[in-house]
Parts: sequence; structure tokens; C-alpha cells
Amino acid sequence: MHKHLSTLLSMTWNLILIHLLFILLTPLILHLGYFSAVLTLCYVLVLFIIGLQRSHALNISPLKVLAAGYFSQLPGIIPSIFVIFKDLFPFPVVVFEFLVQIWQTPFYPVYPFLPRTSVADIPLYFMVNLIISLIIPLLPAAGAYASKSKK
Amino acid sequence: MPRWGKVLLVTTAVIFLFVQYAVFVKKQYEKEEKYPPTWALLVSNAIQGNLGNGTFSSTPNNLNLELLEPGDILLGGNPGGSYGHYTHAGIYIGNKQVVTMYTSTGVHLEPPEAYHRYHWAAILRVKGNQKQKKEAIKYCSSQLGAPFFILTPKTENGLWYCSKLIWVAYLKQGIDLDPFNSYWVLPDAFIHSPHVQIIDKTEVT
Repeated sequence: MHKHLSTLLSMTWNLILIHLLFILLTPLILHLGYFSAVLTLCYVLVLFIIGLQRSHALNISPLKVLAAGYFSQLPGIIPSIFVIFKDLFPFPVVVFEFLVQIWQTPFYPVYPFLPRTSVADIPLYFMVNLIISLIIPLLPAAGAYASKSKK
Repeated sequence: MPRWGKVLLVTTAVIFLFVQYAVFVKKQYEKEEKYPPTWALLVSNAIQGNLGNGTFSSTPNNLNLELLEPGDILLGGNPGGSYGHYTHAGIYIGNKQVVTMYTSTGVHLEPPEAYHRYHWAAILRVKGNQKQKKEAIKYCSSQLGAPFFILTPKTENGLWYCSKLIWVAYLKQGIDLDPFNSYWVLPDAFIHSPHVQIIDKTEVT
């Protein structure tokens, strides 16, 4: 039990550190203009590879990698919940909108390529911001699944 | 003490010292009645809990919107704003429409009356010819629907915050509205620019 928890925490921590690294790198790479979208693609690839390699090294299942992925994305999921259900709260959610924006920094270089449209009166890029924390964990999980499939 | 504990302690100490330095720098500039560096302004405001646009006024200000001409810049600010006296900017494009943006809206249109809700507001007229203003308006309008991102540098990369769009639009016309040449061009920069004339300025008392 202790070993399972330890590997789960280790995987979660790896994913958080990678996400934080790309949050720091993205504003620097944005100086390259539209070409900075390559960094987002690198981030997606890194997540897949980390799932592939770490699941093998730590011997954890794709399901556990998926769980670690969701734990690592809680800083994006929790503020998104506040923004999506803002009508339920008696306080403004502007701070949570800001937090979502900062946490999803690694994806901003590709947002200019999205159609400039709205979904339920929410700009598409911001809608992506709100839900992408639910999708990101699938990437390392896919890598972990690929690692298990290779065996 | 475990290694992670030592790293955490050192990191906390460094951050604490950096914040104190930012507060010190801001106070020194204010003593000399000079505008502080952007990084010092942002860090010292954040540590005081001043985040975002601050607290809006319950009483409308009396900014005279009749004076607006296409190409004019509208500024708004509140107590508790995180990046200076004025924390929001928009460009008037005519037909009672202002191009501006917020975190969750992206670049969009709003009525000029939206600036009546700020504690303090101003109208700035850029010292340019009609062609320059028309082209600046055209550029801003072309970005309607584009995403908002507060951490974007001044490079043209399809990501905007309110004052960056206005700055780029006029820079393309040969008018640099940022007298501080900072990483971020804050709304405050415009009122300090030698390329604008203050048409109206108001404050809720």
C-alpha cells in the first residue's frame, strides 16, 4: 500500500514539475511569435514520453498514471470548477479566471490558431482553458498504455 | 533537516527578500515622484493583495464621453488594482464602440459607458493624423475574437492584453506609446506618453 502511494505521488510530482517548467518556458518562447506553438507540441510529446518511460521505471499501471495526471492537474481543475459554476458562488470568480489562465500557460501559443468563435457565449480559447485540465492526463496515460502494450 | 526542507527554506527566503526589495524600490521611486519599474510595481502591489482590476465604484464617474473621437484611448482604474493607477484600457472606434478585452472574453466590443464604473477614468487623444488613427482602429478591429493572455510579451503572436493591442496598433503607425520601454506596456504607460493629450480625466470622490 505504502509503495503504491509512493509511486503515485512520485508520478504526480513529476507531472507537476514538468507542467511548471513549461509555464516558465512559454512566456520566453512567446517572443518567437506564432512559431512558439512548437513548444506546446513539445509539451504534449513530453507528457506522452514521461508516461511511457516512468510507468515502466516505476512499474505502475496506465490507470495509476491517469490518476496521477488528474492529481497533478488539480491546480487547473479546481479554479475551472469555480469559473464554470460561478453563478452558484456569492463572490466574483475573477481570481479563479486568472489562476486558470496562468495554469494553462503551456497551451496559449496554440490558442491564436483556434477559430475565433464562442461556445455557450464563452470564447472557444477560454472554453479550452476550462476543460483542458481534464484532457491533459490522458496524454501520459496513453504513454503508459503504449508502454504496457509493447511488453 | 531533509534536503527538500532546505531547498524550500532557501527558496522562501529568496522570494521574501526579492519582495522586500521590490517594495523598497517602489517606495524610493515614489519618494522622488517618479514612475517605478514595472516589476517593482507588480510585485509590491501583489504582496499587498492588490490583484486584478481592484474594487469598482458604486457611483459612476463623470467622464465626458461626448468628447470621444475615433482613435481615442479610454483608461479606467480602481483602488486595489494590481498594475498601477489605471488598470484597464480600450480604444474607441466610433459608433459608441470600444475595442477591449478581459481574461474570459478575449478581444471584444463594449460600450464606452463601461468606463463610468471605474473610480478614476481618462480619455487620451493620440497625437497622430487621421490616417494613423484609422489604421490603428482597423488593426484593433481585426483582432476581435483573439485570445487574452496576461503573460504575453510585446511580440506580435496573436495573444493580447488590453494595452498591448493598442500599443501594437499605434506602433505600426510609427507611434510608440510606451515611454518606459518595459516588458509589459501597462495602461498607466499611456498617460505618461508624450504622444498623447489628456482630453478628460475624472475621479469619484
